[in-house]
Formats: sequence, C-alpha cells, structure tokens
Amino acid sequence: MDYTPNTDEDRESMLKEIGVQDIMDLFKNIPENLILKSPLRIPDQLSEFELIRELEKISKKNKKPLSFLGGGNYNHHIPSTVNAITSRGEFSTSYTPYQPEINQGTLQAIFEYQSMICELTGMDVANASMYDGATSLAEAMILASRIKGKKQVLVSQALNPFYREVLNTYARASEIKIVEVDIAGGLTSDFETEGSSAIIIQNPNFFGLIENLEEIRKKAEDILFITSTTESLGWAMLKPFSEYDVDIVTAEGQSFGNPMNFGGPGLGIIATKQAYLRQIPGRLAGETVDIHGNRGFALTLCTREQHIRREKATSNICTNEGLCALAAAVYLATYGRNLGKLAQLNNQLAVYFSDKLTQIKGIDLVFDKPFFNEFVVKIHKDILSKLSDIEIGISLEKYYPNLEDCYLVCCTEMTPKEDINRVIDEITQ
Amino acid sequence: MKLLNEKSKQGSSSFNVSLLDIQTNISDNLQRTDLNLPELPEVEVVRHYTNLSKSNFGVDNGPYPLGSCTMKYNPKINEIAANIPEFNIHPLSQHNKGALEIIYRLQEYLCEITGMHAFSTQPAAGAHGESTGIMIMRAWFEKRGEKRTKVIIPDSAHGTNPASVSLSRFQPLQVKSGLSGGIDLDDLRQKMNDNVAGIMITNPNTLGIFDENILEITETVHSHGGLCYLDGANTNAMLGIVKPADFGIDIMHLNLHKTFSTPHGGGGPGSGPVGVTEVLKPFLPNPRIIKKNDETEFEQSEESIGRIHSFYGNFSVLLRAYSYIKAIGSSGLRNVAENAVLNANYMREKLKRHYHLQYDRICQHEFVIDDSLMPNGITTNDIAKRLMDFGFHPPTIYFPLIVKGAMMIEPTETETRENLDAFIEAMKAIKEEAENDPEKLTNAPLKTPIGRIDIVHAARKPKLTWHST
Repeated sequence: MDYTPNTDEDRESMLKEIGVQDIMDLFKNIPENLILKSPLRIPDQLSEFELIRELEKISKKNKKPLSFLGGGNYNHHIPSTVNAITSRGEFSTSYTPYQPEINQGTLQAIFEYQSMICELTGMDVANASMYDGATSLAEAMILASRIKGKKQVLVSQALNPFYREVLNTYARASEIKIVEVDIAGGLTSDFETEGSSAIIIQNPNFFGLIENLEEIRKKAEDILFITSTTESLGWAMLKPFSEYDVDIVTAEGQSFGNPMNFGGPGLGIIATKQAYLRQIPGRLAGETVDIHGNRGFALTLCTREQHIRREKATSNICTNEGLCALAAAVYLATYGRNLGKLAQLNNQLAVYFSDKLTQIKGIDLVFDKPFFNEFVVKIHKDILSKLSDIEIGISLEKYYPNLEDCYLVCCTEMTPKEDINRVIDEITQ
Repeated sequence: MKLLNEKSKQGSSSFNVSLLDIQTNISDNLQRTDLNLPELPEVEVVRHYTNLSKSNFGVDNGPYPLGSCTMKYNPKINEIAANIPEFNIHPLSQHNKGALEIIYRLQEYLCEITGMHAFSTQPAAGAHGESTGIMIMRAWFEKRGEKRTKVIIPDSAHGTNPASVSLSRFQPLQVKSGLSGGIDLDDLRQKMNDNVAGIMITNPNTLGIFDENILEITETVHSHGGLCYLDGANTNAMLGIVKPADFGIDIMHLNLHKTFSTPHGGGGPGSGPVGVTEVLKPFLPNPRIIKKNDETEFEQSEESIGRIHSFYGNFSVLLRAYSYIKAIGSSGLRNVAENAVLNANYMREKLKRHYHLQYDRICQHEFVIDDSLMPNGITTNDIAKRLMDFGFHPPTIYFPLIVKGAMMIEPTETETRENLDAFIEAMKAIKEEAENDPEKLTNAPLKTPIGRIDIVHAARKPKLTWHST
C-alpha cells in the first residue's frame, strides 16, 4: 500500500517551485555522513489482503478458552451501538478539540461523559480521561502530596499488585514515600495517619471484596481519602463514594464499552471534589456560549495544563484516552438505569459460582465477605489439573505468598450459568 | 444540541437485562438507592451521537495541517487489524503468543527505524513516554551515585517537556534558539555542566528545522556525562533518511498516533514507545517483552524503573502501527518522509509571498508563519477561525512560543497537491479579506455549526457537568 498521493510529475514540478533540483536538497541540513546509505531492513509493502492474511495467522497463536480472569481487565459485552459510533471518522480521526467551533461533537460528548462519571461516583468534577486505572491513581497520589504538602502516602495491600508497582515507579520519581497498610481477612486493616497525605484503597478491592469505607474514612479524618476501582461496573450497584466523603476517586473504566485488547487502551477515570478542581490533571470540557449566545462547549481551565503552565503544570498529560471515554459515554447512555441490573446480574453469577464451587470438597472460599463479581477460592492441586482447558482465575501466590493455591475468580454476563455449570461438571465428573 | 439528560425519559432504554433468581450477598446499606443515568431508546442514542459527529471535524473530513500533530490519513486497514477477534484477549491469559509476537516484532521495527537498541511499548502517549524516559535518566544517575538536578530544554520545546522533567524532580534549564532557529551552541556550552543530567531536544524542532549542529549538541552534552533525550514527535520527516541513534540520542519516544498513522480519537488513545541505547536497556519499564530460543516471553529487570502502565501499554494502537508499517514497507517509510518534507516546503515557498516567515530557510515536515504582516489588527486567531469556513482545520496556533502569533503548518504526506493548492488559495483569500473586509475575519467562523466560542466565559464560572449550576 502507498498512501502518498503525489505523482512523479507532481514531485518534479513542486521541486521546481521550491527552487531545488533533487528531493535530497531538502535534507541538506542533516550532516551528510548521517544520511542513510541503504534502505531500512523492513519487509516490502503488502497489499491489504496479504496483510490481513499475515495478521490473522499471527492472531491464531492466541487462544480464547473459557475464562474467568478479571483482576483489572474484564470481559463484558459491548453493545452494538458503541462501535457504530466510535468508528465514525468524524470522532476517531479528530485531534484534541483545541478548536471548539469544529469540535462540538467531541466536546459535548466529553461534557456528558464527565457528567455521567460524576453521577456514578457522586463527585463534583471528573476530567476528560487519563491513560488507565493505574496512572490515574498515580496522578491522584501526586495531587494529594501537593495539596497536603506531605511526601508520604498510605497504600493498602488489597490494592491491585500492578497498580502498587506503578505507584512505586511514580513515587520513586516524585520522591514520595509509600507505606503499605496490611490486610486482615482480605480487607484493609488499621493504619496511622501521621506524616501521610493520603490513604489509597481499592473498592471493590483486588480480592473483589467490598471495603468498610465508613471505617476507613473515620480513621483517615485528617488525611485525604483516595479510592481506586478496577471493575467500575460495581459502581452501578454500590453506594457512590461521595456518601463516604471520599476526596479523589480514580478507576479503570475499561468495563464501560472497551474491549480487553490485551490490557490496552484502558480508560483512566479521575473525579474529585469542587475544592480540588484547579488541582486536577488533564483536559476538562466546560459549557459556555458562542458570540450569538448559543450554548457551546470548550476545553477550559487550561492554565492548569502543560502547554500553558509548562513545568508548573498539574501534570504532563496531553494525549489522553478520548475515544475510550466516548465508548464509555455511549455505553452508559445505551444501558441507562439498566446498568444497575447488569451489575446485579454480574453479582448474582459470582454468588452462584462461588456457592457451587465451595460445595466441592477441596475448594474453599478464602474470604467469606460480601464481594461484587470477583472472589478468591483455594483449589486443591488435584482439582486444578482437571481444569487445564479453562482459565479459572488469576493465581495469587506470586503476589501474595501466603495465598498458596488461591485464585481470583471473576464472573460477568459473558460467563453465564451454562458456562459455570460446565466447569462444575468437569470438576465433579 | 440538546444534552443526553435533556432527552432522557425513564423506562425508555432498549437495553433490558434479565436477572436470575439468586440472592445477592451485598447488604442493602451498601447498595445505592438510585442511579440517575440518562435513559433513551437505542435509536435516540444512535441519533444523538451521529448528530454530534456531524459537528466534528476529523482527517476523514478534510485537510488537518495541525503542526507537530502529524494529522495524516489513518488507513482503514488499521481498524480491521485492531478488530481481529483473536487479538481481543485478557492481558493475564497464558494463551498470548500472538499478542506477544506483535509487540515483539513492532519493537524490532522501531529499533530498525530509529537505530535504538531496545523499545518498551508501555507508555500510552507521547508525554507518558517523556516521563518514562526522564525516569530512566534519573535511574541511570542514581545507579552511578550522581545527584544531578537539571535538564536542559530549548525555548522552542513542547510544553510537555518541562512538565515531564519536573515530574521526576529535575529543574528545567532553558537554552535559547539561535538566529537560524536551531539551538544557540554558545548558550548550550555555557549551561552544560556536571550538574546537568541531560538535554531534551526535539529534532526536527518545532520550527520544522533539522538542527545542523545536532552532532555538536549531543557531543557537548555527552562530554559532561549527560544523556540526550529526543522528543520524537517529529519523526515523520526522518523515516528512512536518518536514524536518531546515529546523531547521539540515548533515549527517545515515538508517537505512534502521529508518525505511524493510528487515529487520534479526539484526544487519544495514543502510544508513546520509548527506545534506548544498549547500556540503558536494563532501566526500561517492567516487564519487557523479549525473545529467547525463538519464543516470546516476559522479562523483569532489577534495575528497571518499574511498571508504568496497568498492563503492557495500548495494545490495539500497537496493532494499528504494526499494520501500517507492514502495509507500506521499507520504501514506503522513506516515501513518507520525502513527501511530507516536499509538501511542507512547497507550501512554505508559496505562503511566504503572503505571510511573514521568520525563519526563511528549507524546512522539514512543518514550518511557522505568523500574523505580523496582517493589516487592520487581524490576528492569528482570526485567520484560524476563518480557515474553518474554507473547509480546513486550522494549523497549530501561538506555538512555538518563540514566534509571536505563530501558525505552525504541517501538511503531511497524505494530502494531494490539489489540497495543498486549495489551502494556499484560502490563505491568500484570507489575506485579501483582512485588507478589504476585516470584519469577516473577526466574526469568523461563519459557516460552522456554532459561532465563535467564548472561552473566557467558560473559565470564569466553570460548568463542567450538567449537574452544576
């Protein structure tokens, strides 16, 4: 394929207009000894059909067995409306909406997305998106240090282990000290707030359990309360974070209409209280008017951002995950209030599966506490060998050495009763 | 246009969900009592967003010469590639050899294109790549037991550069641009010392100029033990022509959503892979994807800066970039650079007859004109708004900061000559209007779905959700 439309005649006459002889005269600034003498060692061009054949061949090296994997990335149904909208070139091939008059589509969609995230979380403001769940949490950690002026944060060990790794990376660069908070019975245990700017917990936590947010808020009365969520569908069933006076809500929004895609792109969500509006990283779409007084939308409060404030910006983020936020908006608008029912169905399937599994000798529920759609079971090695063609869950031993033979199991509407019964049959046969 | 919540009618959603007869394990006091999401029938959801899309402008609608953003055509085959069902797998699945193969091969291609020794595809965007690169710089000096506090950044740099540097607690130290548009070598030599960790440069720079002193620049930094970081936003002009590693770059990022044609999505997702030289390889983010005995696998390094993404970066964007590189191949990549540079110079030559061109010399992929010759107080902003009426997306405006009233124009290689000529004609017409009918410009745009937006109003009393008053 070749996407450069200039013909040989075009090239020749354009060179003449410029006043040079040869195309290489346009690269005169490059020291001559640096100019490549031989072509790049990359295969020759392919036609569309050759390319598709090759890609399909590589794709077949992946396998898609019956899977109960979750832990930060979820297999949900994507309504047909989502791709119909996100594949429209007017949305997908536009840039960040710097010019509002010809980007009202993107801007209104972001404004509505921000509104729906605030509805789900109960927070006052949400931005236009961050890279993913882990990096939006890292930004929240940095934001909290800036607000409180203390370079230490508390991080629950019931936070997704990959997210903890990302926090460590950012903390090292930003010279923030992380103090881990132990787990008791799968939930975040006691902590001392002195010297810290914030406590970071996940809800539902990495084990799928619902944390005691009321208790945590009480203990954290003099510091900021930051939450992370990886399965944001749970929000449609659980009380919003505002009811627990959470200060900064972050999440992975992939569950809202975005495919698993081997973990990316995700959708970083960040929402906070009005008081911290001017500290929030990233783009914000706001309502305004045009010169005729008609309602319109524009990016706003840009003085927080890198292109204006440079080294004093609230973050270095520029490109975000706009199209993933659009997918989430279409997803939420498509379900409407029925999203609550979808969340309930996910919860019901997980309850059903955990009940069925724990009736089997050799399988135990590790934390007997309320969970959303993920739970931890301990599975005897003999049983596991019967499940070789099923991905039953994420093995936890690597991240929690004391959780030997334990698996994080996830159910969604894509793992219906029939699939669950099939697993139970395979084990009990 | 009405908002979703203004169109909402309870009970009208098409997406009903049947529940099972199973009792929940979550007590009532933990459950929410209401969920006030807007509710519309499916047909109205589709119409809402379809109509919104009609007030949006993408590369699919027309030329988009937004400087430094490389808004080239995004081939549709990339979308087919990204939607092959077998690639849509869970990131922790063990049955991932196809996905790993794509990432590994893409890393190899990026190494060949840039001359760097290893790439990590974890960074999700250019600025994410920048902060990753600066963290690598930091880790390098930490390992050597050196405490360096500053990073040199030219005054023509993207705003993300100083912001990325300060995220890693370095102080940005600005160097001036010289009269020819490149870095002022004397200023650089004066500022470079053993307390400076390195330089962050954009080359070709934001004026579209390939710095002819690039070897002296990197040599100066290296002679004090510093590292050279390249902001690879402008790589389009170098494909198959020159490799950054050959001019002394130690760390760089690429923007796959610019150079490698993945669509920008109205703000993202992008992808900002980071490449390094051999000695810096151990510092790349964990995990790396490598090949051992012909098998792809994950590798962890003790010296790594650590993980910087929930998983392995924006995989579906990587797939699109892979698809693009394979589609156009080796000669196609060079063709991209040649035509991008040809198109930019053609427009520069034609437009300088009507607009002020501060740096009047051969450019690479882009060039910067300004509004200093405009009559009747007409500004760059007026010109940008009026261009919309002619069916063009405006250039990047008021950047780089070193040119007052800048218009940074990057036509890209995928525009036809006819489109280039039409843009030049539009700019000529606008210049004439500025002389004869300036109100047309100050009131522009006149043909867009909405008139000129009041951005001051938006910031004065921010209304960021439909809840706020």
